[in-house]
Amino acid sequence: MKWHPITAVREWLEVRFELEPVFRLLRENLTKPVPPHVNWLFTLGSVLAALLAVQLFTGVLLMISYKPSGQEAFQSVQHITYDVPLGWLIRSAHNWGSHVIVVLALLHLARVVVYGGYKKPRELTWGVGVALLAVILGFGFTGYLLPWDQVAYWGTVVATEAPASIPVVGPLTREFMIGGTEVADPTLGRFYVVHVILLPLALLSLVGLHLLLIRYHGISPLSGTDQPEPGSEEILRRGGRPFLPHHVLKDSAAIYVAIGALMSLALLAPPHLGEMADPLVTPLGIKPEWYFLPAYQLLKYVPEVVGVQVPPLVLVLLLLLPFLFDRSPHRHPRRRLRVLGALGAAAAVIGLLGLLGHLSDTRQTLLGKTYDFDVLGRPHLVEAAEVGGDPPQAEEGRGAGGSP
Amino acid sequence: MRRRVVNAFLGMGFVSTLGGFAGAALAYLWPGASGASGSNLLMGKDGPLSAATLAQDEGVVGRSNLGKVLVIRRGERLVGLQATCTHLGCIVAWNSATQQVECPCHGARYDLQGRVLRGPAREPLAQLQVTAGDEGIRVGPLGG
Amino acid sequence: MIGRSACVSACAGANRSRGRWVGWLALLALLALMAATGLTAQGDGASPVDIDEVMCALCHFEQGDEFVTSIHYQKGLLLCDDCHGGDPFAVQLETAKAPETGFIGKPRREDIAAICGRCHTGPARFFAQGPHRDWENDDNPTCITCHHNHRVFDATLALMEESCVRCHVSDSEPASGGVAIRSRLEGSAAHLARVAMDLDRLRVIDPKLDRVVPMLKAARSTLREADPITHALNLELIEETLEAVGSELAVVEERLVESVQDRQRRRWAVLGVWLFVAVNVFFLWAKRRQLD
Repeated sequence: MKWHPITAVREWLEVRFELEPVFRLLRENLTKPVPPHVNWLFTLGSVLAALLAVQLFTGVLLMISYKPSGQEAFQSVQHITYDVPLGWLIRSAHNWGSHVIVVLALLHLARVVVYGGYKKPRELTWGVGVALLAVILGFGFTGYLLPWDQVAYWGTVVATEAPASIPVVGPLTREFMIGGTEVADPTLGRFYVVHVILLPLALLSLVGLHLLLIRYHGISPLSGTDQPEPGSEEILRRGGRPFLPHHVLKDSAAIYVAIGALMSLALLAPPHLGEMADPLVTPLGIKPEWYFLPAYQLLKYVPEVVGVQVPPLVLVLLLLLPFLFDRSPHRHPRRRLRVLGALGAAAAVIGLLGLLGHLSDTRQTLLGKTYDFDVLGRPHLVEAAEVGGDPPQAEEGRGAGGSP
Repeated sequence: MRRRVVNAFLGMGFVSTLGGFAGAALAYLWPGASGASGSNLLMGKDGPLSAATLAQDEGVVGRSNLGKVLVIRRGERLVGLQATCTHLGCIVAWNSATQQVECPCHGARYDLQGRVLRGPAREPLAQLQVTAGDEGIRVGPLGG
Repeated sequence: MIGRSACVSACAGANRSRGRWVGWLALLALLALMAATGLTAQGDGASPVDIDEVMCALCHFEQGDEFVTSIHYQKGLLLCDDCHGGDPFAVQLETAKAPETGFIGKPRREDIAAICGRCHTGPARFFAQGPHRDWENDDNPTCITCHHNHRVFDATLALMEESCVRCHVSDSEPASGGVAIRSRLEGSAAHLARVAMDLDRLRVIDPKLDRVVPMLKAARSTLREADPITHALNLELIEETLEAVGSELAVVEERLVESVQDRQRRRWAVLGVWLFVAVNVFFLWAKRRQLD
């Protein structure tokens, strides 16, 4: 036989570490057929994994030039944006990546819920998934402070004030989080460490566990949990195709498109940097990033001590979904309309809160009429004569476009 | 020695090692005071703030050992108020047009004595004694 | 034999007297500071004094009414005594116009430029170099001829439009000279406005242009430097300043052009990205077809 480099390497390795059993196991598992109902929505998981890898990549590059101190952080981000070659693009991709990942994570969660993928025996996979959502939100929360501009600083001040209202442990919890009595240099140090090493370690372990469990169980069928899951021949007969190569090709195509979309956003709408953080001056209309708006708005309606417990409670309830709220054996969406309806309504309420959070303290013109939305999100019609005046100002997140 | 006893001691050794690491981390991470300056002089970004540069009906915020303080000039008098809004901690500012202390975050309003004129704040701002001196503005608790 | 308590009280006594010294010094310093703030408060542009409290305006109500509309009054910069002397709050006429207050009444023609020049040093200096500097010639204007004495507003280029032709025939050399200066200044201002508008528009999509904003601000303040020089009514003198503005704006415009080119390049890059994606997706699809 002709000498082939890859075969040679494999033979050399085989003597030192038996790869054959590993490859065999992987091949057997990856070529298992996937149920026929698996459509393009099921590529969201892989797309998420790919985008998280891109975040890791852009994040590492940013880390090289970023300086995590109150005195240097802002200037280092300016340096990245203006001086470092393609620095603006790397930062832009990292920023847009965070938004796209949150959107896709929520869509992925919705897909799993609709198709009953959280039911027995996949409750562990679901739990790990909810933990991953928390980790993703944690990334967004800690990363937000790092540019150390006014929006970053004051958004973090407001976001970290709320836990202090918890009785007994509240103030200490807050002080531990921010490393002192107010947001300052120690806060940046803590948030940076959480963002660049602790959460990535958690992310990698959880993603690994998540993938392991998924490969172990395979994609959930549409039949109920009281019936045995169809075997490989059954699935093939019903029209299912092996994961490798058919669905891997599909996932790859989806990943290409997603990265294309991310690059387009990053190229055409790079984020701005506001003014450097001034702990003595709070600018008008500080709001958190859009995925925290529902919690932010809720805090305006209910007492702080109640409002601050709702977001973790929502995550816990989500975790308990397969145990408390949806114990039926059915997986098919058509047989779970009540549960899906209730969850849809809950999602709509959360979405409405977020919308109110966005509209509050802004002036909007709709169908020729101008409305001033107050702090609770209630619209007030503005008389035509007053329209020329200054609207309440809001500066939400850092967004692309819109000068600070 | 009994196996269980040996195991117990091994377990305790392991746990106490972990505990040692945890304790060290806890001590390292224990939050200290931050942001407040050590003196009762009102400090701005680049040093002590001076009352001389404060115009009539103008306010300025600085740090002191009592936290962040808002100082407003009212004629010859200086008014001192706690500068952190009692709602969610944003820094308030003096608006000479409306003659109210205003918080930019959710619209809380206070008067010159720190009383709440409009929510969502519920607690009043602490009043502070501020006196203009040679080195700058000195901050102290009201009544002493 | 000095008992311990005597030592303590001696030290305490010494501390007490030192304390008293410091106390007096502090009080003196406080009084000095208050006096200083009293003197400087008006210069900081505080809110205006109520005109009804100004005694001069009780009799000189016409001038008072005109003065109230001026920028000098509304920004709390000046009161009657700053130009005319006197005590504007004294009720008795003799006290109000006493010579000790520095009362001069209506200023003489030769003093007008010096009075305005106390604050507006630049314009006064250049006016003294210009064609109208000879106060003895009654045909010549003084500061108040163009800027008015009480009804003083923010000076604009429109002032040049109406002022020159009040005395000069509209096609004469002086009048055309004024027109030339004015149009040169207007040209610079218009150039600045155009560049500012472009910068604002492009800044939205290109964060790198945020660095250019201070450069535009610098150009704007350089243009403002031409204002006092204009009073010499000499086109050559302003030319240097206006050229400086022009070159500062040229640098800004260069950055703007770079930004537009950069945006074009980025648009091509996006096209390239999608082309790349399309090619790869095509091959993935082809592979999929191959398998079936």
